[in-house]
Amino acid sequence: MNRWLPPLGAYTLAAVLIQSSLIHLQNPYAYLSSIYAYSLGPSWLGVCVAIFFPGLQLTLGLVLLFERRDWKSAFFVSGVLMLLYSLAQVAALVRGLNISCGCFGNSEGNPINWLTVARTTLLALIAFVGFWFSKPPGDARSDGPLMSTLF
Amino acid sequence: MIRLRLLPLLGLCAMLGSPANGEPEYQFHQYINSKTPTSYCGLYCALAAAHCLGLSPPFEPMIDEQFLTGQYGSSNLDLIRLLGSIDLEGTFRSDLTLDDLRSLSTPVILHVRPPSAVAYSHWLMFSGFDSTGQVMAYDPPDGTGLLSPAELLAVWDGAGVIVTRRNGGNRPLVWPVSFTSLVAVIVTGVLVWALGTKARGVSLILAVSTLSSAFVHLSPTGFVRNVDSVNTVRAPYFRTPLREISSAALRSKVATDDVVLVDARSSEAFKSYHLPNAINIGIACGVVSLSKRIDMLREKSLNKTVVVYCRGPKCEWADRVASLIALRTGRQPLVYRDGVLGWAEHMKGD
Repeated sequence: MNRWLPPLGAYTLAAVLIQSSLIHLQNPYAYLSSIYAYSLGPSWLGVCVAIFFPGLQLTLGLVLLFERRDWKSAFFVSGVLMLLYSLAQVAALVRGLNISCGCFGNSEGNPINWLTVARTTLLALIAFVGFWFSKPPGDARSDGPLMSTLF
Repeated sequence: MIRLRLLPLLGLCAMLGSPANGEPEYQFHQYINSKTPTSYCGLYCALAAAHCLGLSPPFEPMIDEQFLTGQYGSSNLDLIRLLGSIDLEGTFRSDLTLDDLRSLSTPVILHVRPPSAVAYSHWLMFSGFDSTGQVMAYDPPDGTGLLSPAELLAVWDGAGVIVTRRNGGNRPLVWPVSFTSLVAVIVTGVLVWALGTKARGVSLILAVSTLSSAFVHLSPTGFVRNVDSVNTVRAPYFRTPLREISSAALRSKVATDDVVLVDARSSEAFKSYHLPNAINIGIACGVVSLSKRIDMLREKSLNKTVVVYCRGPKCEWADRVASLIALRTGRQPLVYRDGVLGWAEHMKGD
């Protein structure tokens, strides 16, 4: 059972990350608008997130699809990313913001609700489970410190 | 060179009273009067799409409650029903991209937001790219004009209704995603690998992410080369702190011609009354005419103060438009908080 968890998690996450990233890369302005709608920080931070995150998502997706040796790192970063998205959605819900999730475009048919929070949290869980059960890179000690397995 | 299929659209614009060159004017066709809501934009786009495809349906039957069930006017389902009623077919997609638009040879009604607003509450019609790569668009009621791809992306949420003739041949072929960015990442990854770096794990992921992000945003539609479009996205969310001006001070500036007034209300309200020599950059100003109006403002306001006003103290449109002007021009306009109502009172007091 444990053998199958990392590949299952990897391909699931890869599909979600690649689909989401390509939509955002095609229209980074709509992605920027959906980031600003969360009202979580200054405008320059939104621009940095809009510039960097779609490329990061796409890279993570491709690594999870094709580069098994770096799965552990990709799972870890994906998990952190999904956790950040969940927290942002929770913050928006708690403040009563009626906004689009922005996960797969800025369409009004995709509002934030507890279902989207649950979905994103589940993806974070999949990532961390994949991190736990995936093998470290060949040249790292399996029982070594976290950083040696990630970098 | 204007593509052939735009010519019927130019004829439509002449009929609608909007000049084909996109310059704003306040001549209204019989369908557009001071009582016509701006929520008819979807209907106008459907009519324009029909003209582009060689049909000339009457407009009056389109003004029907069944085609205006959306929050701001016509929903995508309303447009599909409307197109069906005039012998056309509409296909709604929520994930269209610029590459999709380039591959289509048929009009597309795009779901956009007015530059000063947050909500995607407007429709405009895409009719192709010109020879320089600019987007040709019909933006009711302003008329036709050109946009850069980045300007369009700044106000478009990726949704649109593809319009085709019924039984007119093959369904439009639309690629679900573009592979440009995928290629960018693969190439970057190979580059990093070929350079013989020992990056693994998170280092490799961060390096490839950073390089591919730079690749995307240094491209013609990226943030680096389209700061105005980034500011168009920022404007409704981040208000610049604005100073205000009193009625007496404004009157003094008007008397000495030391001011350029900007009316933030709708074009219908502006037509019925506006302050002396004001120009209209309304809250619902279309994306096609916004750049032209900002350029006009820049020319008129050299060495003059820009003052933005709205209806009265409780209206926030002046703040939004003033913030947009501040971001797009780099200058700080003043806000005349009392607005049209306050001005009328002030002048009455004399």
